[in-house]
This record gives sequence, structure tokens and C-alpha cells, in this order.
Amino acid sequence: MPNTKLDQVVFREIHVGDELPVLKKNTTTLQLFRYSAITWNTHRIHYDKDYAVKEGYPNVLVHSHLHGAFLTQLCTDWMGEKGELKSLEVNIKRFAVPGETLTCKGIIVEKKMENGEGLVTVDLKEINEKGEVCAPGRAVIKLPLE
Amino acid sequence: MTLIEKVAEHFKASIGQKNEEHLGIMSGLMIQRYALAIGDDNPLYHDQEYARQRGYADIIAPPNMVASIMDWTVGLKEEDLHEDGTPKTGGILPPSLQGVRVMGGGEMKKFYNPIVAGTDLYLTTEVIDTHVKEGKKGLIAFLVLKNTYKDEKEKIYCISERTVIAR
Repeated sequence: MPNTKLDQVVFREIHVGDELPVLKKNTTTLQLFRYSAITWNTHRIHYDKDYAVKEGYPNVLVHSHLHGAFLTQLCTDWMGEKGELKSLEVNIKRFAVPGETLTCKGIIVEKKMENGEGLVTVDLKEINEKGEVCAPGRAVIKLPLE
Repeated sequence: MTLIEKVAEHFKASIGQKNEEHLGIMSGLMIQRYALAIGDDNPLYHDQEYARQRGYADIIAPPNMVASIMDWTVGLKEEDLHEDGTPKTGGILPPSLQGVRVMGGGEMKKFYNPIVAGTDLYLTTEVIDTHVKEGKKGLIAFLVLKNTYKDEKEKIYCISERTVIAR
């Protein structure tokens, strides 16, 4: 659940080294199908297992933007409604298939004031059940000062 | 000249190319479906009343949504798609240079304003960079595309820089 009931996280109380609450995502074939549909993505690798096997994969693949969506949610759940996601960088290092639980983690690596805004930089990682990193990333989030 | 070298040449020639298109309306239904698909039940993406109480005219889109939609048009007929399902035309490579594997190589997005349901969107795509690298299995060509999502008043919502890899 997004952070709608908890106390709003504020810049003053955040420290470098703090970790974001972990977000776990259980991917399914249905989810991948819906993601292909809503993004109007016809790439067969995401919905046709026979085709994916022919390409050398064990199953259809989680979309790169879906990895990105999970890391986005990790940030937006944590920052609350007064937080603002300023930027997000995502790289895909390893494929993931439906049925896997992907775990999204974040750690604060920098905290700075810039033009009167309180900005925190978060190192992001989406890892699979074997502990391998599928998608590393980095976000900059503006938090209310108090 | 190998195929991948031809692709690298093509990338180099496309630097500076700019394309403007009218995407259309980001509807509330699209936003709700997208949020449902990714499994994000944030009420700002689902509940109009909730979003209004927080100062928005309607629900808002998850920040990364706009840059995740692959095609804003009706789309192509099946016969106009490659075997892998990707479009034969309108991609980054002309029909004469097919046969290389093209994949995403990471993306940097900056968010400037939330997209409220009903926003009429425009997209400017610019080819801003290209380079080549010698990989384990031969040459790899990189292309960086800058996508700027805005409205008719030039209000910017999202700028995404996407790296595409051809090998």
C-alpha cells in the first residue's frame, strides 16, 4: 500500500544510509499480458512462450519498463503525497520471467539542499529470488523540509 | 562493411534528427488500467475524489507511465510486424538494415509535472548521441533518444533519455 496513512517522511529526519521499506512484486503471465496491452507493445518476447524459448529464454520476459514501474512504485510508496519523484534512472542487467518474486530495495546515498529544495538520492536495486540484481537504478526525490 | 557497421553509420547520420508528434489524450481509463497492470493501488491513480481532495483536477498517472507506452497510434496490421512482433516500419532502423538485435540499454527519466487524466500530449523525439563499443561477440552500436512529453502550451511533463543497443 502506498504511504497514505503513515506519517509523511520529511527531509530533516532522513539520513544517508537509511533504507526504504522493501517492495515485493510477484510477477505473473497475466500481469505481463496486461502490461503489453496497456502499453500497446507487440513484442512477442513478452507473451509468446514458444517464441521466447526459440530465442533461448526459459519463458516470456518481464518488460524493461515493468522493472522500471516496480522501482518507481518503491519510491512513490515511500515518499508520500508531499514527496516528488524528480528523476529515475533504470538499467536492465538480467532478465526476469513470470512466477518470480522481484524484491525492490532502496538506500539513501545523498542528501542535499538545492535552490531551497530538500533532495535525496536513492540507490535502487530490483533483485530476483537468487539475490541477483535484475535492475539497478537511481532516483532523486524531493521531500518536504519539515 | 558488416551489417552492424552499416547500422552504426545509419545511427551517426541520424544525429540531430527531430520528430514531433501529437500523441493524444491520456485518459483516466488508461491510467487506471496501467496502475492495475503494475499492481499499484495508490488512490491518486484510481480514485477521482481522493485526487481532487489533494488539489488535482482528476486522477494522475504514475510518473513513469507516459514513457512506457510503446505506441500511441492505432498500431499496425500483423503482416506489418516482424516475426518478433516489432514493427517493420517506423522503428529506428530502415527496412534495408533489418536482422540485427535491438534492445533497450537503460533509461533516464526526469519528471516535471504530474500528468492529470485528460491531458492532451505531444512528443518531441530527438536523436542526441551515438557511439560504438567492441563487445565479446563483436561490435555493438548505441543510440540515445531524447523524448520530451509536453502539452499544447509547451508545459513539459517528462523528459526521457533512452539508450538503444543494436548488436
